[in-house]
Amino acid sequence: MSGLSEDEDRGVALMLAFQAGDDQAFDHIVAEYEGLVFGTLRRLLGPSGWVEEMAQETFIRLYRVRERYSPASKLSTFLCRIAYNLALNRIRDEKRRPSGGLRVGPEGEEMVVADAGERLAPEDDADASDWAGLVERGLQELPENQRAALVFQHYDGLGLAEIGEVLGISPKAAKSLLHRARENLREYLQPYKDAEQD
Amino acid sequence: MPNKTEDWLNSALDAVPSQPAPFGFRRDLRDRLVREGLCTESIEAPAGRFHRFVSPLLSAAAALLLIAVGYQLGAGEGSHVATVIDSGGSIAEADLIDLYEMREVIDAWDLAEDAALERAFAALDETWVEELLATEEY
Repeated sequence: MSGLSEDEDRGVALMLAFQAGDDQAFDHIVAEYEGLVFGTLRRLLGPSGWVEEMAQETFIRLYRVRERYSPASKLSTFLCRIAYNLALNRIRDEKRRPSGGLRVGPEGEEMVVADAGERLAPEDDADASDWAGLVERGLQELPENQRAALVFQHYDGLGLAEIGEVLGISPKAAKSLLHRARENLREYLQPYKDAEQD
Repeated sequence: MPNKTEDWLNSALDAVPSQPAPFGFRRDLRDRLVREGLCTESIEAPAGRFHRFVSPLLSAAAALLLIAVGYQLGAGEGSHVATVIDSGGSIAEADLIDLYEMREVIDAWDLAEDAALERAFAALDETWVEELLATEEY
């Protein structure tokens, strides 16, 4: 594991201990990686109300499939892959659901969401100065694989090989995907940036 | 707004805050693991760990504090040292003030949940304890 940082080494060590039957190691894994999992899911799913349930499911899956983990991968990469697959299934379920602008949250509650493509002009958008909100909206406009590639790279610190591992593509394809993601997000945000400079 | 360099997109991405896990997430997760039969033990929240550490000690001390308090009241002495007899018959001396302060901690953490502790705390509510606390020594 010479190529791994100290934190990554710790993740591997915790996972190996968990595989060996140390149940407390799982608690440490949750404590150390819950932020990564929540952040990733929040950015993949947007403000959907499903984040907590999906985060719980991510760690449940980790518990169930712990034997499949290989120390050749960082634990963060392994967790990102689980979270991504769960998020992708959730997004696909949502797309299949006839919503008419309404989505159902984990408790069965109705959640109003903006229709794709429904976008105010920057000068009419009251939240145009809220860059966090704008970026989140822009991320949601990206295709899922582009969004995931960008989230994994920018927020989770994954390299091209690791992004490829999570998405099931080659590092070269991951690089191309990232390029398209950045260009598309830049295009989405550019009008707001221009409006701000005027 | 992010800076105006060519890399403004990275700055824009940095504007999105991280998402902390909500309070109680780990406990809920462990409860679900138990419900699904994956493990048998519930996770201990920090308060739970504290309770596990403190409770046996305080339960033993406080439950038998009744005896100690009775002894003190019966003897009518001004001493603040209580004789505590544990369930194994061992005799030890405990400072009533220490026990009283532990009760404050227990109350603050809302951990008093067994009947023995409640009875012991009720005994500690006797006015003579308050008088003792009000003395110059404390």
